[in-house]
Amino acid sequence: MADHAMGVEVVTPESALFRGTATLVVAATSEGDFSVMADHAELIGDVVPGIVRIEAEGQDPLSILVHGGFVQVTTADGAAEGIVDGVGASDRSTRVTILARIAEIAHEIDKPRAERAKNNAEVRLAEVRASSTRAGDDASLSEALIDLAQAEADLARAEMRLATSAVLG
Amino acid sequence: MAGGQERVLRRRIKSVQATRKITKAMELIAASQIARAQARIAANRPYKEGMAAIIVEAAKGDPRAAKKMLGTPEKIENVLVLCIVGDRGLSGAYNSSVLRATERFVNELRSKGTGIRLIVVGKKAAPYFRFRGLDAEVNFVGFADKPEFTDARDVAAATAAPFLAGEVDQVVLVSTRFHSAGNQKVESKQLLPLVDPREGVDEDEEVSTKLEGYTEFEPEAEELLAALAPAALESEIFSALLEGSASFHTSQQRAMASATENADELALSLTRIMNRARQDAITTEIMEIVSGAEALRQEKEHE
Repeated sequence: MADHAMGVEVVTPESALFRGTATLVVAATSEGDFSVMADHAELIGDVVPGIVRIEAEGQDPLSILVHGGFVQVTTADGAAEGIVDGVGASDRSTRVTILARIAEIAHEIDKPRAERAKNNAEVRLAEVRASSTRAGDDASLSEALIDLAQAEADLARAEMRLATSAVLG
Repeated sequence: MAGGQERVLRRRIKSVQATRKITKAMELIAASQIARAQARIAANRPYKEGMAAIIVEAAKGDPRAAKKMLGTPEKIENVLVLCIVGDRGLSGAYNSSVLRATERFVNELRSKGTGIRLIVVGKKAAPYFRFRGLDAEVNFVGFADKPEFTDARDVAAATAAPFLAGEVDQVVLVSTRFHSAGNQKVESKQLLPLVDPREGVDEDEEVSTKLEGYTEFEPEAEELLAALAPAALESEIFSALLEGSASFHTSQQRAMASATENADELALSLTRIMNRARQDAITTEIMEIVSGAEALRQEKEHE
């Protein structure tokens, strides 16, 4: 097991969402899907909004919904120290760190809450769209555009939550 | 007469004790908030450190792009200062030391002819600067006690906008850093352009880390750096907000503890004065009675 295990962390600014060992991590960057197993080359990249799957031996795969972030894979002596137990200091171990502003474990998504968030976002989006067509001067227009982008992002997030929990919840 | 003085003193003691109750309660509340704020700093650490590590790698991946985007600019004509203080007072020197440090920094830049713009977090900042003829263009209020990450995003958006528009060459943060429970310091730090993580790393070390291996980038390092910059700024501001709130609570706890102690001392010395006044009154009364009785007795003897 020690040969295939790597240390995996999924962290958000508020907490470490997941911290443990895994044999396989699957995620997607802006250039396509990728998967990491032990001894993967060092890599850093962005993570597009979507599901990150973490598989460990003898356990059900864990799916984490990540709303955009970054990933770093490091391979170093004892890089997984403190995360992987039973890996000798002489092993070259792999460590995967995923940094996300917002992330949630798929089966813990609060469906009713996501539903409400979606409705709110839709209402706001309609409001903002209406006001952006009315906006006269440049300043209020650019403000409206920012609001629009934010409302769209909120809606996309809520929809993604619902889709995720429909499949995995 | 003398009883009047005693009554006045008793009223003052009561009022001091009532104040002491309030300061004691505030001390206890602050103490519980410190623990929570410290836990949040600890929870934020993996993210902050991960972010720093990624930027180091990305900067190594494309040193040319890194030079363009990171590091201190050579020509600084306009500076945006972000100042983080608390929403509430009664916290010792917490607010005023940040405000004074900011003012000193601003005056120094002004004497060099640098243009200044100001964004502040915390209710206590705007009146201070307005009085000194320096208006903050944005004033964030309401989350200095308990900042959420979305608050940090809002602050980051407001600070990044003038920089991205080319209106300012540098963004500097002045806030209190929470080094440990017993050590908080007001520090200023360059936020934008992002500090080049390779600054201060000596050359040999850099070479040795390069030998470690080849790092893949998805997307290319330059593009990645551009995407990382706003995330790094948000992370930087969020940890400054968290440390600011922890420092605020620590400072408030300390201030309220000493206020409670002072109230105790004051109540004690007032009690002493009151007791003496009462004793004086009693002594005077006895003297009056005794001399009265003496006078009566002498009158009788004369008869």
